[in-house]
Amino acid sequence: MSAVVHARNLAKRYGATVALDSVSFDIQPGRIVGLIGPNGAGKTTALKAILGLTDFDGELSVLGMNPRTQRSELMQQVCFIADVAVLPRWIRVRELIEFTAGVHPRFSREKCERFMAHTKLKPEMRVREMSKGMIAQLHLALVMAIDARLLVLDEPTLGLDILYRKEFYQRLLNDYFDEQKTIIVTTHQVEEIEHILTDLMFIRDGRVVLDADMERVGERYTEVMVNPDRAAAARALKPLDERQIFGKSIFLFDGVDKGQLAELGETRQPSVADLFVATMKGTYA
Amino acid sequence: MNTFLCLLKREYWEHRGGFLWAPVWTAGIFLVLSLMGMVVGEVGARRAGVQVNGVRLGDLTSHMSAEDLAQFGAGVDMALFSLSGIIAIVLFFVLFFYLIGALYDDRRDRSVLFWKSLPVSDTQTVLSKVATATLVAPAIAVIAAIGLMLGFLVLVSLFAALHGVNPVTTIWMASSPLSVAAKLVLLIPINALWALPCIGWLLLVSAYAKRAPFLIATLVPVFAGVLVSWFDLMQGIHLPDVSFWKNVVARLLFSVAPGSWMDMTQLRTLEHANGPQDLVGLLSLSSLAEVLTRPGLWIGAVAGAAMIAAAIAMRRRRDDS
Repeated sequence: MSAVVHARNLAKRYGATVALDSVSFDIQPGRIVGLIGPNGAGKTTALKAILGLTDFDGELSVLGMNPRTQRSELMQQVCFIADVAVLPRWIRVRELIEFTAGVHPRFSREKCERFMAHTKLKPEMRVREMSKGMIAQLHLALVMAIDARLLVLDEPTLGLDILYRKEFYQRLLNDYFDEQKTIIVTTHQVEEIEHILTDLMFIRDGRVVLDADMERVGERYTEVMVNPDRAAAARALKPLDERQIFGKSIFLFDGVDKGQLAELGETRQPSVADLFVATMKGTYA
Repeated sequence: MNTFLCLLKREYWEHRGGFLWAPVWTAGIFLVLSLMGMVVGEVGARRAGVQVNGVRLGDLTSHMSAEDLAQFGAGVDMALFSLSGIIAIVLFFVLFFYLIGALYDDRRDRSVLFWKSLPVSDTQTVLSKVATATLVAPAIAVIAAIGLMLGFLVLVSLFAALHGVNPVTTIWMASSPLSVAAKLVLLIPINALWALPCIGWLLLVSAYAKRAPFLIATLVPVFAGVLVSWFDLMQGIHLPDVSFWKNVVARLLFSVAPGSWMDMTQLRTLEHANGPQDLVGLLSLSSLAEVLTRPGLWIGAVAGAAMIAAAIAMRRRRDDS
């Protein structure tokens, strides 16, 4: 019951397209969950449902509240960054801080100014005068100054250069995250966040196809590099995926004993990106 | 309550150009033009050696009877009201476009996602926009209008003094700028009540439209009016089309114009007016009280409130961002 997000048979359709197809999952406190899926898989719809921004069928509670009917109460405990461009373009930094301080009981102006001290942001600057990276810095400073229990990040670093991207996640991890907080993040730049995730959730065609913590993912999945002469033996073990590199085959296995696989060749931990590609094979076909 | 104040500030920050600078610049430009006009007239008159009908103004006014003076003062008051009319026209355009964009612009540029990520209910958001359109913007406009009136009186006084007329007795004491200013303030709530259907309609369209809110807001009432008139022309069904255009179409589109509750019957009395006093009488306290007794005002206000409620519901449901 202490789950931060509790979803049962969550469903949503836009006309004929099914965005979410009876999805069930729980997100526990103190986790950083990566919600990963191809374009149009239903990630954003799921996040919108959690944030009370869209109607849905099924059962959903966030921090014990109904996001549809209690959105304004819920938003005291939940923060949200959508892809970078959503801060109003006319507003000044000073006005944004004053406004947030006025409407948000858990916002600390002092914290926000401390985070901004590391940046080039100036109080009189307007959002429309800033680069994408600066807008992301501003939004992050604003959100990190709010003592919320759930932070939802939807492609927060889209279109940023690698310096800003690295800094973004580093800040988040070092200055914000603790066991009281929960973060849900979606992104296509999986490689950059896989080391900070505690949980992984793959979503495809409106369904959750993988929902596990990173330790279990490590136990379940193994990659083996196999010489051509043993490829047939490897194929017999029903790999998820097979690809060729330098005349060798790389197989990805789900739930096959690691000792057994070691006999076939060199084993290693697959990256989340490889896992993703293997799982989502044929999505756009 | 603090949240609501912040929301009002937010609206002001975003629309400072329309709410503050538009009326201030209008007033300023009008005063400068008046001054330029006076200078041109003065220079031209001096050069040509013209006197008004061969009489000096000072001689004229010094022979004014008390009744004449009262008439003259009422004329000045009327002029002051007309001056505030300039600001009112500006305010109409500012409010019209403000309301059409109020719940649409942030959806178009997706900043609605930021606003909705804060613990502010949709009801508060929409009501802050109603309060801005009914109180904040009109209050600023009234201040600008009062400034314009005082500035104009000062200019006229200078002109009068230059021509040997005592501005204090003829202009400042005969006219009643304070009561004109007080009436402008008094008109704010009356205008607000009268404007509710327009505010409700524009906000509803603003919350509903996926594109082109201006076209929807204007074409739907006009088309409805055309339809009613068309039925009327067919003679089969008799619909009160004139009153539909006046009480529904015009009300939905133009009632944010301050003073638009002055209707034709009132304006018609102008034709039989005996002097400026009758004109000023249009804005007497009793005729303002009469406006409050009109059923049309209250029916419109109720309809406006209903549309505002619908706009709130629409704001909550729209998730096309």
